[in-house]
Amino acid sequence: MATIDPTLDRVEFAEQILGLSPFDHQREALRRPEPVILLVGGRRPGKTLTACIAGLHAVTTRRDSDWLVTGPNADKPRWVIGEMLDLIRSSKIADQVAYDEEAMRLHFPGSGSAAIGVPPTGGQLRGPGRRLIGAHIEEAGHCPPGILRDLRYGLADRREEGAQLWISGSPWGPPDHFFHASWRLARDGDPDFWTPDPPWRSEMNPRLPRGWLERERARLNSIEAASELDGLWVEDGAQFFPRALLESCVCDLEMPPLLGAPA
Amino acid sequence: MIPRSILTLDVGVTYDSSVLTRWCRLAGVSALNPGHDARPVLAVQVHVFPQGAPLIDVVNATLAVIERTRPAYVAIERSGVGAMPCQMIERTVRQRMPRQKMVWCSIHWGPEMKLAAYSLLRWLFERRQIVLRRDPVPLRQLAGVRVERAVRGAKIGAEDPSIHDDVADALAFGALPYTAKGGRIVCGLARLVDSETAAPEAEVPELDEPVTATGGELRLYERPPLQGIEDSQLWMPPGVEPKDPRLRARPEMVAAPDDPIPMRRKE
Repeated sequence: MATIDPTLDRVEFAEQILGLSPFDHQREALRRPEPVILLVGGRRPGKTLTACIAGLHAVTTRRDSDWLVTGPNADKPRWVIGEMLDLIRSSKIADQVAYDEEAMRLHFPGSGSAAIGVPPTGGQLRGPGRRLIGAHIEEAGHCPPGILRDLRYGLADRREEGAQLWISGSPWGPPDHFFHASWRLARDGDPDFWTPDPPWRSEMNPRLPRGWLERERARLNSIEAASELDGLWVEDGAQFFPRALLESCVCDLEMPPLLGAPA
Repeated sequence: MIPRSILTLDVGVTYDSSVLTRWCRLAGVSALNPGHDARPVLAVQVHVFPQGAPLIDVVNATLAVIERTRPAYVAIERSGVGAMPCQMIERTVRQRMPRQKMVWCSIHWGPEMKLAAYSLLRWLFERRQIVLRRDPVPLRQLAGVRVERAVRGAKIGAEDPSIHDDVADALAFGALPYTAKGGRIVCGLARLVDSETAAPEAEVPELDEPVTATGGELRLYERPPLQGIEDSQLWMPPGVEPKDPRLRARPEMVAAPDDPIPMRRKE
């Protein structure tokens, strides 16, 4: 049987190089060609892992290319880059990577490519056009509204080479936030956007015990369960703190650390 | 040391996590927002301990924060699994810092108190007096809080007592609820956030510091100056300077009028 070249196919890359076996729903996402991939879903169906595979494929199969990872705060990209590092360290190409923890940079000296974590500020995300082959926005619903605009033009330079923006998270954000708005575009068939329909549910991850999931569903109220387990955008009149109200009070201030460092 | 704040702790053992929160009052809000009525605005920080974290670790971490920052108020749930940690923390603090003035709010959490505390939170959110970080965990949990009809009035949360509400409850403890004489539920925070009864806002000159904004368009410095939760003592983050170089040279000019400690001291 003919083997598909893992440099051309992300599912083969995951299997042959990373030693993973993606679930069916992840395979479908990994083979999508659209410029913007929105992985919307509940908790733990494998959204972040799928985006990490896409990122690692991008930087290990191209020279002098960057994959940016960002999220709601500085901790989140650091965590995602750490996940990518773990995947590489247990793979066939573990010896090809160098990691700079302080710079949140996963570097491949042989090819000159890198996966780089950046905080969600315009200054960090604007500008890097020529080297940029892709980006991943983690927990997108909680990210500042302007970052999609900052990233999408940077990705346009290498669109013909397959540059992609991966956006992942469980449903969160008002209708005019880029995560929610992009999801609607994808759902309504915009050719530049793709999202799984229906959104990924927690139970699609067979590693999560079914009984535990059922008990978790019973423990959550209907709003939380729809969002956290089924990946659905929901809002109802019984919410004591409507999301729009919470969003109006959200701002990332640089406060003195709560634990562990001098005040 | 940062100005005195409110510290809250909700203790969880198995299903719920232990959650520590700190409430700091932001200074200089009026100067950045023309027309602002100087109502206190509080930035809330949340730390969620790993699920199943040993209680002794939670106690030690909380003690370390108390010793380091000397909060004005400490609110811990005294009922249920919080009983022993609460006693341990209070006793240890009294032993180690016998002269430190600190208000202890031992919370006996129940439906009526919960409704009162959550209602104050809602009031403060509506009035843009709370600023939360973009942290998905507390935001998701708060968005999941529901008010439901109950036999006597309304009830916050779900019927199932095991529902995830650790972060939301820890935040609600910041309302400093207690049962006053006659059985009435009172929230101590109300006095600290009402511009009629709160300490005056500390004066802050224009700073050489980037400005950001909440979703409700309240402008704030990215590294905000803070003031005491019940006084006007001003604290500036390291490296944050007034825009006017003359004020940098003369720190007494930028100290709050009733502040015994200048904003900056010459080294």
